Amino acid sequence: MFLAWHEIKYDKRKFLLIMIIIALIAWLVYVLTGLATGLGDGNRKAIDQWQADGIILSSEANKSLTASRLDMADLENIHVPIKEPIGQSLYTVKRKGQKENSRQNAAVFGILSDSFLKPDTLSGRSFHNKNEAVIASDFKQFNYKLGDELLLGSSHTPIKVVGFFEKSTYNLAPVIYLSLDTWQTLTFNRIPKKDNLISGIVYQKKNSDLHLNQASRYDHLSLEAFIQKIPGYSEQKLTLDGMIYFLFVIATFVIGVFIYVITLQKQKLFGILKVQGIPTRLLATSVLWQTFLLSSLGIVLGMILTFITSYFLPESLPFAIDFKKNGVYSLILLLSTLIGGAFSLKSVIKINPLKAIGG
Amino acid sequence: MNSVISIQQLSKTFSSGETEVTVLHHINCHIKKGELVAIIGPSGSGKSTLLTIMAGLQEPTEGEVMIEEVTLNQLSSKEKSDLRFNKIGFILQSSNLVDFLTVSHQFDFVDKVGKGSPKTDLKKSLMKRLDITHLNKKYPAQLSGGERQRVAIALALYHQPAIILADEPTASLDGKRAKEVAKLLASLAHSEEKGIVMVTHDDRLLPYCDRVLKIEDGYLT
Ligand SMILES: Nc1ncnc2c1ncn2[C@@H]1O[C@H](COP(=O)(O)OP(=O)(O)OP(=O)(O)O)[C@@H](O)[C@H]1O
Ligand SMILES: [Mg+2]
Repeated sequence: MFLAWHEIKYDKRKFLLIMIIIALIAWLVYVLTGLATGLGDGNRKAIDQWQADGIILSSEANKSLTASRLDMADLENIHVPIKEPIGQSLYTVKRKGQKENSRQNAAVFGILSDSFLKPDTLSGRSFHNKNEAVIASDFKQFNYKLGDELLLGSSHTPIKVVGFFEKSTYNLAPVIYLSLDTWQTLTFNRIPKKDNLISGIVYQKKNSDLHLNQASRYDHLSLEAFIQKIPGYSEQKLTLDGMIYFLFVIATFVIGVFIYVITLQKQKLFGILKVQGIPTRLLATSVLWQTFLLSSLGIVLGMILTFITSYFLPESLPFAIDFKKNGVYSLILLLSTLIGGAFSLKSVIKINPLKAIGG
Repeated sequence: MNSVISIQQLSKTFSSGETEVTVLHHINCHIKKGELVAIIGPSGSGKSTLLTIMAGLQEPTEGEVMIEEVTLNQLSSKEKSDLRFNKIGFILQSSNLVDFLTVSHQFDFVDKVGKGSPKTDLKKSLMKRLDITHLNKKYPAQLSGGERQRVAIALALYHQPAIILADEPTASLDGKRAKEVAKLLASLAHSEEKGIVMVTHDDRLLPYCDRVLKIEDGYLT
């Protein structure tokens, strides 16, 4: 520690350079993590907000809520303490009177008005009547306001915004909640006598077991399994996570090479210290300490850069800082650099003190 | 017997491929507590080789070296390293200072390695004796060759080793400084009962030494 720190202080520029490289790698890791978290949230936030245990879909739906079709009568086949029917569609939405090209994507959920899925409103009130909706705060960035009338898809029936709730997205689209009745009219208005259709059933088990009659007609999934099947979710996550894992490997090699070169430069010094009986172990730990100090400082700098960056990113970019994940990745990054530093230990051990004094 | 170093029937042969070169032939010698012994001889005669064998930095081909009561051949390399740290002070021809530590920190580093508490008084008196007190905050690169050498000597003494091995310690000093160093080593040997071995080319230093060993072509004469 003593040697490691004094050398860093003495040769500030060289070590600053290495630290900056670690900081840049860390920065990239955190930004990618932020994007992965942001994209993940964009896909799943609405589902996480439900605080439910699982979901029942029709067996032919291939685990997609949008493709799933059940009937209100199916609720009778499901034995679990709390169950809620839900209707779901992806619609484009615009405010009445606005141009067609102002349309946004929206994830529309139809629920019963006493459902536990119903979000608490931040402003306005909850929906009571037909053709009323509460919408996620994400819509505020498009200047949606209380009292606005919305047109969903090809429907000409205006839906009135009566409340805003917290930010919420599903499959990267901001969320709208309205009554199941409204959703059914919107979705099936051309199919007479089909107004009992729903998409799925969300349940809370409350520590008891789930029983299904006619189980083969249904597909029941934990919410996590359901989220994994949201279109695009797993693929996006895999891509970004893959980049992050590669960065760990790159960090190991980049730092490995730097520390190795620095160690080579110190061969004579280490030899002379060995002549004087300074234990090899101390020299080796000094190399590791140095790596540790450099990468800790670099990682902290990378974090600071990430926080600064997050203020300058546009609202529309899905970016969220996940402290737990960043903590874990920081540790992995630290470990990667230490492994890189450890490449040099063999050359420290091999240094022959006799060579250093060279007769 | 108060020999700090005893060498018996020591030979050293270097073999590279087919050819074998014997650099040291059946050397016998003892270095006692409280004496300053000079080793002289022409270049290539084996002086440095003898010194490094005494320090356990290389193995003799035959014969043995004892440091106080310990036979070097029987020690592991870790034990030899500890022995060097605790018993032997080195003054090397090339600088044995750490580039990135100030003069003062060089001493602190020795404390850190030895896990001892700082010997402030010893440090002060050594620095005064070698006239390096004012160099306290300087890095080796900011010192002259002679100043570096004096710091190295102070540092070697700071371990309070029983033995000091010096390979041409005065090579980068002018005549006056060189004599001072020899005088200092002699007085250390006498007043602090250390066994000191100094390899040198400089005949003017010999009057300060208690004994002179002459090596020629690997034979002690
Ligand atoms: N590792 C080695 N392999 C082969 N030969 C060596 C090795 N080390 C030293 N020698 C040879 O041993 C001889 C003695 O070398 P040494 O360094 O002991 O001489 P020296 O008396 O210290 O000379 P100088 O006064 O020039 O420092 C030289 O001929 C040298 O070439
Ligand atoms: Mg020599």
